[in-house]
Formats: sequence, C-alpha cells, structure tokens
Amino acid sequence: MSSTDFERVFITTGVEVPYSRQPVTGSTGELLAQAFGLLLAESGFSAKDIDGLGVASFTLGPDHAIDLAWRLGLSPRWCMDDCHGGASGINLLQHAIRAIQHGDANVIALVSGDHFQASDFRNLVENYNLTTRSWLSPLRNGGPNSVFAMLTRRHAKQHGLARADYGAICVAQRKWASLNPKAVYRTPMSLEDYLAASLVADPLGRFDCVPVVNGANAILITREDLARDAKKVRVRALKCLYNADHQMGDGLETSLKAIAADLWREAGMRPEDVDLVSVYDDYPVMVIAQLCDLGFAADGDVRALIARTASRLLPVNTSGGQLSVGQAGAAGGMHGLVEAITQLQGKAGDRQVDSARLAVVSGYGMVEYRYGMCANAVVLERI
Amino acid sequence: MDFDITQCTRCGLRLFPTRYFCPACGGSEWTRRSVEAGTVMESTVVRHRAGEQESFPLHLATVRTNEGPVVIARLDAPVPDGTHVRLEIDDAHCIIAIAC
Repeated sequence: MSSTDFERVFITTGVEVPYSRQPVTGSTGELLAQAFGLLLAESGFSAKDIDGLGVASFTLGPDHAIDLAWRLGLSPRWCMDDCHGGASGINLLQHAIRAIQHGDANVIALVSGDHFQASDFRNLVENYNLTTRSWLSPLRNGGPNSVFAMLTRRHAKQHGLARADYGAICVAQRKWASLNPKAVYRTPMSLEDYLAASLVADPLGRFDCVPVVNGANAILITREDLARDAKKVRVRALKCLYNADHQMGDGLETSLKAIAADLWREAGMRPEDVDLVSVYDDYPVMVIAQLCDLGFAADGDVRALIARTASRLLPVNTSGGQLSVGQAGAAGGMHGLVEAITQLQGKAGDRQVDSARLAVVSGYGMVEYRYGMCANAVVLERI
Repeated sequence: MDFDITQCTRCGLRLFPTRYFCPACGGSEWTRRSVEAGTVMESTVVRHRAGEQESFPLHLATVRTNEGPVVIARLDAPVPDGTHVRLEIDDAHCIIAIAC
C-alpha cells in the first residue's frame, strides 16, 4: 500500500543563499540561519508561525536540527534531521507533507546547506560512511570522483558514448548558468573548452566534477489554508526508494527506474508533459542515467535525449545545476527543488522557462561503496 | 595477505562489504570466504585528489572477484579491461590488484 494523497499542503517558497567558492565568514549554522531569514522575508511568515523544522547538513555538527531550532528561536512541534545527501531535499519534503496532513505541524521550514573548510571536505569524503572509511580511504582514492570515473566508463561502454557526449550536458548547463546571476561559474563554455580541461580521474575532466562551494537552500511548506503567496506549488506525486539493488548492480540504473512508472501514473501524466526537469547532477553521467530512469528516453535513444537536453527542447537543470552553480554539500539535495519552485512561480528571470506549470525533480546520492544508494523524485505543479 | 568476503549461511549469497542481515533471505549467519583473484572490469587513473596539492597518479580498478562480489582495488600500473589479477590486502587495509 502507498499513499498517493498529497492534497491540502502547498509549497509556497524556495530560496537560495548565493553559493560561494571561497570559505565565507561564519559557520554552517549561520549559513542555515541566513537561508531561514530569506525564507521568512520571501514568504511573509514570521518565526512565530513556523512550528516545524527539517535540516540536512554534513557540517552542522556537533549541532543538530534541534540546536538550530533553538538558535533560530523556534519551538517546533515537529523536528527532523536528515542525512540523505543528494536525496535529502525530497526526503524531507515527503516527511513534511505527511506531518502537515496529519496535524503534527502547520508551517514547516526545511533548510539545508554546508560550509566547508578544506579540511572539512577531506574529512567528509574520507569518513563518508563506515564502508568508505574501511575500504575506499585506504586506497587514497580522494573521494567519489574515482568511483564515478569508473561508472562513467561502464556507462560509455554500454551506450557507445564518448567524452563529448557527456560534455554536451556540461556545456548545456553552463549555458543556463550564464543566465543565472547566482551561479558560481557563468562564463560560457564550449565543447572545446570542456575537452581541453585537465583530467581529474579518467575519463572525468575538471568540468565533469562539481565544484565544492558553501551555501544553503530553504523551502517553506504550509497547510493549504495558511498559504499567503498567490503563486503556490503543489505536489502531484512523490516517491522514494533506497537500496533498490543493495550495491550488487553496476550503478548505471538508479532506483528511479523502479519508481518512475508509479510516479507518472499517480501524477496522472507522462514525462513529455513536464515543462522542466531538475535532476541531481553530481556528474553528467548521472544526469543522463536519471533522465533515462525517469522515462525521458523511452525509445532507448540516449543520444537523442542528450541532443534534446542540449537544444533545450527538454529544459534540464535550468539554474546551471551543481555542475555550474556548485555543490554546497547537503544543499545540493535541495538546489534542484528550489530551482523548479522558482521556475514554476515565474521568478527565474532571464532563464525563465515560458509558462512553466509542471516540473519533475529527482534526488540521488549517498554513495555506499560504488554508487549512490538513494533516489527519489517529485512531480510539482503550479496552482 | 588474502582478504575475505562473506557468504550467507542460509541462502549462499556472497557479499562485500559485510552486512548485518542478508538482503536476499534475511539470514544473519555468515561464512567467510577467502578472495584470491578476479578480473578487471574497468579502471581509472586519479590525477587529482581532494585536499592534496601534489598528487601522484593513482591507478584504481573495479574488479569482479572470482567469488562474485565486486571490489575496488589499487593497481601498480594501468592494465586493460579483462585482465586477470591476484588480490591482496596490505597492512593499511588497502585492496591491491596485481596483474597475473
């Protein structure tokens, strides 16, 4: 049995504290507080109205969600820590909707973000989980680039793709980023620039790997009758599935593959009905894999899918994605969600997709050993 | 030194790294099986690593062990896909693949 009812709840606001390549002054907590402040300013709610808080962060420790709630002056009736990395935004959203539907909270703020010093990032990648600490760090592999390099090799072999095919995704996203004043990397990039960049872990070059940045995102979710902003967004369907193959596969399919049919059926639509897509883009290979898993290449023609993405016939990661905006740790799991909300509310400025009404957003992440364990997706609709 | 993978005593599923419960049958009793060799599925050379300014090229391979489970191992030098390798674990807990 699964609940397909996402009624009586609206997303009213999504915000982003501009990402920054250099360490910013202050701490992770201060960045999250900044996101919370932006959320209040944009939504029109006061801190007194917020009775639920969900937090995703790798570097907030030793604090947790409840410590942040205290520092924000909140007395939440619902409070949740999330640690699903690139899947955390949609995971939090799933729980927050149920909390509101069942009266545990009325107005929930979801915040995510990270602030890294150089040592923080190294510590994170070497101690990501017990498996990493025991079996990857002793190789001195330097983090996930090496495992996704080998995953990209498997994918290229399976689909007969070359570096330029993955590059087309990076170039397309950079083109979107050039229209996003908040993107860290906005200078247009040609395929030649992409191919000429130094290799990080063959076949991955510098532009295949997300730049690590500092930043935060936040989303406000409220009971239907309390929503103030006229531009509301609702959830038509949301599905999560973790450990679909228990790391016994090749990582070329995410668990989106298993949930896509139910997702579209429950949303009452097909992939071709959406106006834009946000997929979690830690590497271009995962953009392609998730688009395929979600059904955007139903005929199996991956090259045609890449061409549609490059030409913007299918608008994918319209902020420029993490590949151009940067990966602010756990905020990466909310970045695509915030971009989709921004687009659906018609607030995307120069990169606005015309009359955007429907979007699909996916999350992916938490590499246990050879690839991510978690994937989830949500179909959003502007009201 | 050889290293081990685990095999579910109840259903025979072989796993690496170890789990507490078997994802196939739910069993929680395990037999250890020594791993000695495997075949390179694909490899990479890591040229730059997080937090290290002066990186030396590091060769890594995805190896299908003869026992079944897939491991990531360090190589001394690049080898073509399909190369048979001997597998060992060193004192630093690093899995090493040596071309046969």
